[in-house]
Amino acid sequence: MRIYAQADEEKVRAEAVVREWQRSGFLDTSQAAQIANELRVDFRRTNFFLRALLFLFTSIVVAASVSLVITVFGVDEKTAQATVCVIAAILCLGAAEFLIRNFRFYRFGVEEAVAIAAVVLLGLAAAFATSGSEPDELVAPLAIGVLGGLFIYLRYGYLCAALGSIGCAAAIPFAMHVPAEGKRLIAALICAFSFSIVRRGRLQRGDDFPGDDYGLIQASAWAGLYLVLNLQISFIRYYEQSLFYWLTYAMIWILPVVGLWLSFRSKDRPLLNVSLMAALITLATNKPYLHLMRRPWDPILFGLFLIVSAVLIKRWLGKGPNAQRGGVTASRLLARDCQALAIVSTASAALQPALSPSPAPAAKPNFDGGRSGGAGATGSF
Amino acid sequence: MTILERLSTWKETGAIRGTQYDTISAIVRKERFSVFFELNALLYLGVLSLIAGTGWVIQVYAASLGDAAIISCLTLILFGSLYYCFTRGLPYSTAQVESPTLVFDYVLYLACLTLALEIGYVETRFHVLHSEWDYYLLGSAVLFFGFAYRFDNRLVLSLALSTFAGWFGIRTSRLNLLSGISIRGPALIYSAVVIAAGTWFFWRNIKKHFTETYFHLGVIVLFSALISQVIGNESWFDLAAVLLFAAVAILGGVKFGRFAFVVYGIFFGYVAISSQLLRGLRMDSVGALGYFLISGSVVTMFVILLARGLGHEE
Repeated sequence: MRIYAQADEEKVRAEAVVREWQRSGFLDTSQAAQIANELRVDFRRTNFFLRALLFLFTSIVVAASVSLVITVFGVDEKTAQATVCVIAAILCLGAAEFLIRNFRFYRFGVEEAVAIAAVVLLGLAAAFATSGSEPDELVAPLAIGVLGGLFIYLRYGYLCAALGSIGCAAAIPFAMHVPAEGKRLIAALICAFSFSIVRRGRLQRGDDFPGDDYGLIQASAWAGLYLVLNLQISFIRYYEQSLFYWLTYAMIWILPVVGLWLSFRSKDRPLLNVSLMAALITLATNKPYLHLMRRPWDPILFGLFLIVSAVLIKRWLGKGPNAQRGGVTASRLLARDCQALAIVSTASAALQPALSPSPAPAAKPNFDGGRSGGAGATGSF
Repeated sequence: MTILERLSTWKETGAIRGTQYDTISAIVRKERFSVFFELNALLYLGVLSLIAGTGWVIQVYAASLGDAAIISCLTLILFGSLYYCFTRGLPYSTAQVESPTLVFDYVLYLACLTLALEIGYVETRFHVLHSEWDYYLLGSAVLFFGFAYRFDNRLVLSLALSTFAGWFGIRTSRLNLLSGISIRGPALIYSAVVIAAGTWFFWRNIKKHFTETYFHLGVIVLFSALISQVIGNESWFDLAAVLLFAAVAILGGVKFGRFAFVVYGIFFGYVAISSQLLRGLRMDSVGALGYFLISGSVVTMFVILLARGLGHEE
């Protein structure tokens, strides 16, 4: 099924890990070069930035080509448009196969864009074909998205296709005429099912390929499960305080705890980060859930809680033997941790905190005017 | 073949030493698992939340709390944080210096944000500088630059750069390309100063790891300002400037292996040319679609050729 040989993909992942060890100072340059030479495969690859550019511009070319055919030939009927999309999808899939087989493209952007475009075009074809004919007209395109995404992942191993497939599956109930509670419940079951399927593979393979992919898919399914069950994250904020409402309230507390427990047990970083994020969202949405009024000092308490938690965890870990407990340490081990912090620090220039979040009318004095920057030093209070 | 099996093979063939095997295999087996990034993320979010809440409390309760209480509290936080930093900080070095503690960087960040909050409050209440209030921004920026270099703090450097941008009249967080209001002049000067400063520090071997932060901000502000003119005012002069700087960004990015700048050059260059050439055309017209097909193909071919020449260099 898979177009790339398992051994080749394992080598690609191993090479990335070796490069990380070198950057972290565990290997010297000559050792890393020697090992990298041994792990060499005949794939044509590129770096993240050029890959993103190639993905973007190939997508533009595909979208423009299909639109141009429809426009130039005056294809107005929905069934004819659907046919054009199906033909284009087949051509895209053929192009992906051709590029990979003949040019050995691997995560090169171009072949990824055409493969993903094939699924999107098939989904569009289904949307054109069912347009106006059925009450649940989005179900067919989403179902195509589920199957197409799954096929693309199994064939080419694109993680985004697997995540898209789960996303489409979870979105199907929202396109159906069922009560709002039922939609969320079905979507949650789909995410939980996806999680349980992938978790088995994750536990078997660990961080070794394709276990690393399974880890990310598992964490995304867990995030999806949390998001559909948190009723405060929704376009429709009002839900009756029924059994379902309080069940979801219980779940938004239970899920992060279970996620943290599972992630620490297996030292699973993607699941840990998702569970941590879910825990923070639970704290932030707790008051709206209970219909309590938000107070100005809530962010202060929240901030202090985060800071104190981080400090206490660091101290607790630091006091263990070799500054670790159960293998968990607060020390930096790999260079990628510092790189991630450097990116966050640079990006923070555009994310300086706003100092006037209150929807309530301000008491005197009223601070008007001010320019931006300076962390809002001159902004209005 | 798993990573652990490969490690064993490399050890047996002598590609790695026994001590290296022990260290790396402990990490691979997850006998050592770091939560360094997660703890830093909690601290960063904590400081942001704390300062946002403080601003909100001041906004709502300023009248009842009174100036003395507010200024005292803010001053206490400010001096407490600075005392911590000056007593715990490692000696200055032009090279990269690790933070002495996990919370150190965030305590300094909190001090800087508290200073910004306090200055804003004092000026709004007492109008010390009146219409010249924007010099607070310049003063704060200089102080933040000083702290960033003294304590080797990239978060504070970003704060300094955005405060400096504020002094130039640019809202770095909300650059609106379609506003029609010209920000080109100040933005160009800002970009030139920031890029020149980054280059100067690099040449002088002072905190060379800060250089990319200067360049990212400088280049993004530069392109955003010029493109706002191309889109808003149909300026051919600005289009020429975008293309010139795009070429420089692409060449520089390739030469120094910083491919984010290649992305900036190609992306902003494409947006500028497209906005000028497609002016007045409907997006679903044959002309516009033909343009996207041809231009997209040309750019794709160009990037493929570039990527082939570079391999998968990071």
